[in-house]
Amino acid sequence: MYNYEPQDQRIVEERAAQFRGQVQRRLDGSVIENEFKPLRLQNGLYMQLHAYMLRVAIPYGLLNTKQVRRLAHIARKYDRGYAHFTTRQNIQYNWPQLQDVPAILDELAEVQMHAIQTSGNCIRNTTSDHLAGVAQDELEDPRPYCELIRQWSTFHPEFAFLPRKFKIAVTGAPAHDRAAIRFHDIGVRIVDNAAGERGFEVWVGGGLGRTPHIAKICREYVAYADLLSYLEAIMRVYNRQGRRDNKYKARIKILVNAMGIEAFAAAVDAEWAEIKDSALKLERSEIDRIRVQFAAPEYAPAGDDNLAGLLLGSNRELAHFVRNNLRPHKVPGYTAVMVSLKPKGRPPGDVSDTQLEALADIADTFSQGELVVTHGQNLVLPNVRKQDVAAVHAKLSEWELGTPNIGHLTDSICCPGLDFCNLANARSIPLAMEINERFDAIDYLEDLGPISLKISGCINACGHHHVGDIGILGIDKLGVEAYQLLLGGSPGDDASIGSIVGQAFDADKIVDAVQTVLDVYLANRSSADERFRDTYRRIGKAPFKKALYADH
Amino acid sequence: MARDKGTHWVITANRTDDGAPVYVGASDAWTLSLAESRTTVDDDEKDALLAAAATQERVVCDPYAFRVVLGGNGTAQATTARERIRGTGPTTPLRRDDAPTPTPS
Repeated sequence: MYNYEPQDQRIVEERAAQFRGQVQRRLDGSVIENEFKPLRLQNGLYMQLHAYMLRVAIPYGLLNTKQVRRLAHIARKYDRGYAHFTTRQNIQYNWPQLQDVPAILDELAEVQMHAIQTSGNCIRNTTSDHLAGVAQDELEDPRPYCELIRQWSTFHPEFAFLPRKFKIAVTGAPAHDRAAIRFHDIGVRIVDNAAGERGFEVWVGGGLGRTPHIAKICREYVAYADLLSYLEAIMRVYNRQGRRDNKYKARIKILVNAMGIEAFAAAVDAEWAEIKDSALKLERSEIDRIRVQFAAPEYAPAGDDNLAGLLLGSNRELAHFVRNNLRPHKVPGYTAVMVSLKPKGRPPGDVSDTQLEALADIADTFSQGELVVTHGQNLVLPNVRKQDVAAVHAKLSEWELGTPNIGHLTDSICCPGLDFCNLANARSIPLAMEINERFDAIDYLEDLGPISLKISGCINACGHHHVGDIGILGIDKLGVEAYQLLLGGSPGDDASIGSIVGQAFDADKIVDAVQTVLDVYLANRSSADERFRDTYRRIGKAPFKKALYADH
Repeated sequence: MARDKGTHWVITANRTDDGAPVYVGASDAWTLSLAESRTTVDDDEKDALLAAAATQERVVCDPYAFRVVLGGNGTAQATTARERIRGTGPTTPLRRDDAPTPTPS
């Protein structure tokens, strides 16, 4: 992974020192909240319902075990012994005291981490494919380009006060988008052109939230040397023409939609012509300087694996784990292991300090000392020998980390909701836990097959409810929580936005409604192999609506 | 004595040191307990309390007034899910217990 150069280290240390002074002035009364708020938000410090919340950046989701142990230490020393992985590959602490935050930032800086670009109207932490670097279906590891984007965007003076926040995702897998690039302000896909030259397809104007949009292709091919100048051209058009009069219309998706993609792309091209041959032109040596830091580790020879035997073995939990939690690896004999943070009875995405330390130990022993955070609020051990899968599962299970439900109904994406969030209208975590409790029979989940459930506690859609097979949106009905049900969303190559089925359900009826949806699916699928999404697209909303509102 | 008919209001804010929700209490000091908060039905009094809270920039952040109803013992009770949860804390489990789960056989 990328190791900080001296200037990277200096930047995060200086930022931590600056914030120490700003906090001191807030605490001695010389700075008031209205003055302090933009400063704290530039350092990832939010005010939530019950406490401050510190969001720490995890660039493209990648962590080494030294960093994981430091995150555990921070949870124990400065918080309540746990932390929460977010739906954007970051991590949050829910209970920091204001006076401790400078010390937390110092501790993060010591392990090359920070909380910059996790809040505010700037280019946020760049996200990527959680299988980057190990995926079989990858053209090239996208993380060096994510890192280039990080270095270009951090403290970019032109883009410190954008009309609104700005999110970029990069994938290196041409045919299997695991980074949801069509739902980002900019999505970048590594491609080869007709001449076989490596470059990027650039999508623009995607997003969820109040007004969901699927991104459109802004340019089908940008040569690798022109990546940053092309991104900068997009940012300049947005920065100049994006709306600043209404925060709900300020994202680039609104601008792209208003201008039309052709006019927007033409404006970008005009801007690009001015800066294409500037200092933003990428030298191959500069890319290689970063790429070498993401070079594949030395893979020890892998022996014979016994995965087929495990699938048929008497340890059914392990068999389900092998079936559901492993992903193909580019190196023979290896696999990527998905670690579910969705066990029954726990809030999705939460980990304790001791679980983090156990994960660091497991990653050191079995996965070359790296962990990856997914936007689905799980973790990946990216480099596990297949022969070690049983041992890894046993170790994970000791720490309630071996749940074999990846990609299934109980592997929900879920925002913090009204239990924590100052913006939320309704709780989301209790719903996810209730669904996990109700539908815990593994054979039932296996029969359902891959199905995604995504829950947001408000229209801002941190729980990605628009792109779940089943989406749930919490709303406020005169102070009472209620829930809308959406069906048919998809974040990937077959992107679609879920559609609201009908009027909202009361809190005590929404899990029954999910049960009804599942019943309709099981009764209508053409075979056990037809996924929920395909059944929904074939039969449409009507049968679900009829069953859901039969009494109305 | 203030009137007891009409909309009852409580003044709240988040404490600067740790972000905890606090309420203007009976003696005008900040309290962590909604049940110990001072309620008013007088709009002028509400505005005066809010203005006073806004001057306490070091102690609290972003004060605002919200509606409550009075319980049987005359104490304030929240009328929305938001203020109810804000007043009592998350309804979900926080840190998991450290006792390791048994390894599956």
